[in-house]
Order: sequence, then structure tokens, then C-alpha cells
Amino acid sequence: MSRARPILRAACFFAGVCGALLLCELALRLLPVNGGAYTADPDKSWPASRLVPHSDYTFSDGWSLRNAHHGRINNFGYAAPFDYVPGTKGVVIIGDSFVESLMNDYDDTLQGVLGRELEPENVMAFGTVNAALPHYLGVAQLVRRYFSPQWAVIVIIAGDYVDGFAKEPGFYHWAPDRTPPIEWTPEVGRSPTQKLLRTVAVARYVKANLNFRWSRAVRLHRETDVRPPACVAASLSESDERLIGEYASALPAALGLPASHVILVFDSDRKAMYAGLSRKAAETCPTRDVLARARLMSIARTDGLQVIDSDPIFRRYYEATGQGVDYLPYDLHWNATGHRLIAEEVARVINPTALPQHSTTRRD
Amino acid sequence: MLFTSGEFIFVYLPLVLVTFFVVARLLGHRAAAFWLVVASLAFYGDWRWQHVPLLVASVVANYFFGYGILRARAAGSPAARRLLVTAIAANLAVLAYFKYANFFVRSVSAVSGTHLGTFDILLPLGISFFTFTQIAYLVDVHAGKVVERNPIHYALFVTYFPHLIAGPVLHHAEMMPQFARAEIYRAQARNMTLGLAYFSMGLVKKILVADSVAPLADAAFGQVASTALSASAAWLGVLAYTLQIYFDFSGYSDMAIGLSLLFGVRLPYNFNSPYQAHNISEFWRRWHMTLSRFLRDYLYVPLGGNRHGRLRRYINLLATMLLGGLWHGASWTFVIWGGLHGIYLIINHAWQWLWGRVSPEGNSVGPFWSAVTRSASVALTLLCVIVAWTFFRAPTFDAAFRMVCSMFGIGTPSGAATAAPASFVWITVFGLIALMGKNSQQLIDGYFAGALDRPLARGELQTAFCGAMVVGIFLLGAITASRDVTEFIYFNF
Repeated sequence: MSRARPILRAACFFAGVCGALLLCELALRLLPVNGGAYTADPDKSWPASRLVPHSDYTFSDGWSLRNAHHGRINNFGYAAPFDYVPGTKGVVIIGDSFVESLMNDYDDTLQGVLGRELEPENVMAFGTVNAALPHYLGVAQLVRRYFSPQWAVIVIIAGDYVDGFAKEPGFYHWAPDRTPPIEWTPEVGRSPTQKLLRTVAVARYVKANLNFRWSRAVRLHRETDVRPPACVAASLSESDERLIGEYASALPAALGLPASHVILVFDSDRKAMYAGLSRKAAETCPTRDVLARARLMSIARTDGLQVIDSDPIFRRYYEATGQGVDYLPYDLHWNATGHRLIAEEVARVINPTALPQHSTTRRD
Repeated sequence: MLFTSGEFIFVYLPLVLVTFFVVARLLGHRAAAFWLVVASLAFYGDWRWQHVPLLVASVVANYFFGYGILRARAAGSPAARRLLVTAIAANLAVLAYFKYANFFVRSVSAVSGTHLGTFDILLPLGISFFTFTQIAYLVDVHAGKVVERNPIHYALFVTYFPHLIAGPVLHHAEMMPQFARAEIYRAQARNMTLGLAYFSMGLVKKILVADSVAPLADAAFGQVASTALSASAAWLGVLAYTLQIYFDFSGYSDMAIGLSLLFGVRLPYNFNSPYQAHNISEFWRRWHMTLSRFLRDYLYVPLGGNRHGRLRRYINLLATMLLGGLWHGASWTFVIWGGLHGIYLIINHAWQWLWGRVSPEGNSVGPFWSAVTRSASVALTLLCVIVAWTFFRAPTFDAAFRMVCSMFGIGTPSGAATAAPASFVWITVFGLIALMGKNSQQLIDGYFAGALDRPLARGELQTAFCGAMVVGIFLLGAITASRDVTEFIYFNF
């Protein structure tokens, strides 16, 4: 009796845990918990990281599941309501989560707005979460293998230069000794357990909505000095300069386009904008990444690439309306307005009349 | 370390709780109590370890002051009173230095037009709480009301981590005897279940309610410092703060009660649906109940209370509330907040006295009019409380005054931005909960405990409830870990 009692108690405790988990699972299954946008298994035909093709996804942000959206992953593993047809001529848009844009309806994204201006299926977006500059170049090479781009839009955001040095499975990273200066890290397959967990709403909520990590959860919140650290302005090394220069010339080559048909869109420091700081005031202590992106912008202009600097565009809009162009303070990504403003600028550069209508080469 | 932080929920609490019961079983109750003292000091030192010696010195000094008073009192020596006065003066001097020195310097500078330099002082967390708790102990030792003198139990009574930072303000008579009980050193499923339920309730109040409305309050009080607000924007901000402070502080108190119950120790209730009060006196019997009790027993009553006529009673009320305001923080806005409540209390008592003379037998109206007058009295009380919260929250007197003017449409420019109607949705929902809902103790000690005590739910089923509650707390902990941890409002006091 005395030995059985602790076992019975443990069993009851475990039953309580299971019961509560089951209740949570049932409740969360009725709610728009993040899910569906999962990294696909390695595929030699498209080595870059992408999502599981032909699947549906649900996006929502944070614990309260705000800004819920549903959509579809197409045959190439990118978020779009239509399949990409190899051989299609048109505009390709390459970037990271800003281009993937799960937090917006497809029609409100840069590619959606441009598609309405041109022909929807002639605008193909290749956005991947956590991608950086070298990955964009790698994807550009793949895009040229399958499609016939006439214009390319590359969306560049904060961190895109320095993050490019990380070697992540399925992603291209900087390789200064190679030409072009990128190298690919092979994608890894997900284990059956990981795939099983994708089907559990509680697991998806904790991992994707709450972004729960044990290391983050148990970090210490000690009282810290609130004074900002002293400014240590960074500088670009010779190697950085060379990498950026090679990158600017490699992009058009990778896409098989003249430099004038490659449009680089640079995101801006929108937190500074909302805080009323001028661009100059916000950049008094530039980081290596800020300097690298500024250098890329400058070299791109010199090399004849098209450059769209979002800073004056967003500032003009914010000063005129007082409305934000993103989901801050919760989410840094552009909202429908941010995408529309950029799309209008891109459309102005492209000049829609120069684009072919219904030029898709369809496969049977 | 905050109760809502991942490090507390996932590391500190399980570690301290399990070790407490293991130590109690293997090494005895005294060792377990000592472990809890050490763990509480670690909890305190996690913020700023440099302040731990101050807390330890305060505990040791006050214990010996109490011991000295007790001995002198037993010997019938007048030294007992001298020792009491010295001890209180020493406690107040420490508090004055850490909390009020810069306030004093700034006030003198403002009045004299000079620019005196301020001290570089960091306010030790919870200093108001542990100072007043110990002053009450010393007063009661002198009054002969203290029977238990176990030094570990005394140290635990002061440093006990569930209440150390932001209360409830504890009375030694309700705590120290509990530490002497053998039952608290054994894990009990019922206490665990109720404790986890209180802790979950507190987490929900803090994380899901208070932190959700806080940005609305912050935005309004941030804007009003520089620009005039529309009436709707001002009301949105003030109502958001009214709800934030209630759910934040009562959430903290629920967590404290719950955490303590895990160790088998009952803490007193601190809130009892204060926004449902029919008059301001009742509000103070429902809001921060342990502080109200302290102010009544150790300030209002010693000042003379209601024993020297109406005028003296009103003066005592005003003085008590002014000092109560100052207790909350070293700023004139807190003094004004306290003063407003003092005036409200005077008006309330005067009105009751007047009404008693006009209608000595009470009025007998029908149920409809009775409901109307009761609703009107709740609304009027709440309005007074809301206006006072404006001074409590605003960074300066000017900002508070501008906010009150904006609320009533005074001096609002025609182009001032109005609040989006959608912003009022959650304010309305949370407001209705505060105004009409059952409070934590009614739900947990009433319904939930009642259900647990039914024959079917006794024994192992309570353990199952514990398991379920652990899942809930894990999810709430994961939610809080997903965001920037926000401090509790009362940590500043």
C-alpha cells in the first residue's frame, strides 16, 4: 500500500498533465496557430532552403495570435497562390521574410501589387526566412536555371550583410575566396519526431507563436545599467569592400540580366523614423552591417543597378499621414502600406509598358 | 527576479520548493526554514546583491531591538520605550535616506530657487515593505503582543520571498506561528492545487490583462506631458491605467498568495473587488487591504483615530492618507493622490454623519431605486478613484492636471486626436470583469476549494489537478518568456 501510493500519485499527476495538454490541443486546433510553413526536405533540383511544396499555411503573431493569415505554398515551395511555371518571363523578387510576407495577404504584398499592375503569374517571389545577401545571390542563380527573368528585385534589410557569414543548412553564405563569393551548406532532413511535432498544435504554439527556447526562458533579468554602451563605430575591412564589390557585379550576371534591370530595394531604420530621429542622427554610430549596406547601395548605383532607398519614401508617407508602414512594435515587417509604397516605386522603375503581357510559356 | 519571469517559473521555484520539502524531511524543520531564508535572500539579491547586506542588517538589528525591548519590558524598565523610539527612528532614518533624501533636496531646491546637488542613491527594492513590517513588530513587542521569538522564523517572516518585494504587508502574528506548524513542512496536494490555482490566476491577470492594457496607458500619459489630448484619448489612457494597476497589483498579490500556499503558508488577502465598492471607505477596505490595515493600526489609531471628536478624526484621516501617499513614492504627485483620498474619506464620513442626522432611521425606497442609488454610488466612488489615479500615474503634477482637464474636455484643442473606438473594446471587457466579476478568493477559495473538498475530488484527483495546473503555468511562463518581462507597478514603492 505504502509503495503503491507514490506510484498512484505520479500516475494521477501524469494523467492531469496529459488531460490539460489534450484540452489545450483541442482549443488551439480551433485557433489560427502558426503552422504549415515548414522547411522542405533536401532536394537536389532546388538546393536552397524552401517550404514544403503544395501545402497550406497559417500565420499568426505572438501569444494572442494577432494578425492571422492563411495562404498556400506553391510547387516551388514559396508562398504564392499559384504555381510557378518554368520558363516564365517576368519579374522575380528575391529576399527574406519581408518578401515571403506571410503576415500579409498575398494581394497586399510587393509581388501581389506588382502582379496586379502587370500579370499576376509573371511576378514570382522567392522569399525565405533568415536569408541574407549571399542566399539572394544563390537563389538568383537557381532562378535563372528555371525561369527567364526580365527584371529582378532584391529586397535588402538590416543584418543582411553580417548574417550572410552564418553557415546554416540550406542557405548560401559568404565565401570570400570563391567566385561568385558564396558557398552553399547542404540542407538537412527533419526527423520523424520533428515532423510529428509539426502536427501538434500545442507544440506549434509554443515553438512558432511564443518562439519558446529554454535558453531564452531562463535567462537572468538582472538589473542592468540603463545607460547605452559607448559608441564604437565600426569600419569595413578590405575583404568586406571586395566582397561587396564582387556581389554587386555578380548579381546581374547570376540573373543573366543587364545591371539596369536589377533593382535593389533597401529597407530603412523605421524605429528611428517613428522616434523622430533623422537618418543622420540615427546613424551616428554605424555598425559594420550599416556601413556594408550603405557601401553596397553606393557601388550598385555606380555599377548601373537600380536602387530604391525606402527611407525617404517611408518618411514622406509617415510625415504626411502619421500612419506606420509596418507592424511595429510587435513585428518589424512591412504591412500592406509598406509593400504598396515599395511596389509603386518598383513599378515606376520597371515601366509596365516595356513588359510583355501573357508571355508565359506554359507546360502541358 | 520577477514572479512572471522564466528564470523564476522554470528554475527558482521548482528548485526552492523541492529542496524545501527534501530538507524538511532529511534535516528537519529548522533547516528547511533556514533554507527558505537563504533562498529568499538569493531571490532578493538577484536584482542587486549589493542591497542584501542592508536587508540582513535590518533583520538582525530589528530582531535584537525587539529582544532588547522584550527584556526591558519584562524587567519593567523605562528603557523599553526608549529602545522602541530609537529602533523606530533608526528604521525611519534608513528609509528616509534611501527613499526620501533626494525628494527632500529637490523640494528644498524648488522652494528656495537654489540648485542643490542630489545624492547618488539606488532605492533598495521593497524597503518600504520590510521597514514597516518590522516597525509593526517592534511596536507589538513593546505592547506585549509578541509571543514567538525564534530568530529563524523572524528572519523568514521578514524575508519570505512571496511577500518581500511588494507585499502583502504582513503581521508577525499571522506569519510566525505558521512557520512553527509541522504541517507546512510536508507537501500537501490540496495546498499545492490551490496555490497553483492562485499563481495561475495571478499570471493571467498580469500577463494577459495588465500587460495588454499597459501600452494604452503609457501612450496617453506619455503624450499628455507634451500635448493636449482629446477627451476620448484621455479617458482611454486613464481607464487603461485604472485597470492596469488593479490587475497588475492584485495579480501580484494572487501570485504571492499562491506561491506561499505551495509552502503551506497562508498569506492574507490583499484585494476584494475594490472597484465594486459603494463608497471610498469601503474602497479602502477592499484595496491593498494589508496596507490599509497597517495604516489604520499603526498610524490612524495612534494619532487618535476617531476618539477625539469629528474634527480631529478628519485631521487624522487626512494625515494618514497623506503619509500613505508619501509611502508609495517620493514625489508630490503621490502626496496629492493621498491627499485626494484623505479628502474623499472626510467627505464620505461627513456625508454619513449628515445623512444620519437627516434620516436617522434610514430611507426605505423600493428595490429599483435602491439598485439605482447603489449603482450611482459605485460609479461616483469609481470616478473619484479614477481621478486620483491620474495623479498617481502622471510623471508630474502639470501632466496630471492636463490629463484631468482633457478628461472633462477642458482646454482640448479641436484637432486633438481621438481614441479609436476599437481600443475601448478590451477596456470594456476587462472593466466589466473588475466591476461585476468574482474575485480570486471567491473563485479559488470559494468554488474551486469547494469542488476539491467534495468526496469525489479528494485524494489522488487533487494530484491530477496539480498536474493540469503545472501545464497551465508552463504555458503562461512560455508566454511571458516570449515577451519583454515587465515589472510590477508596486515594485517601485
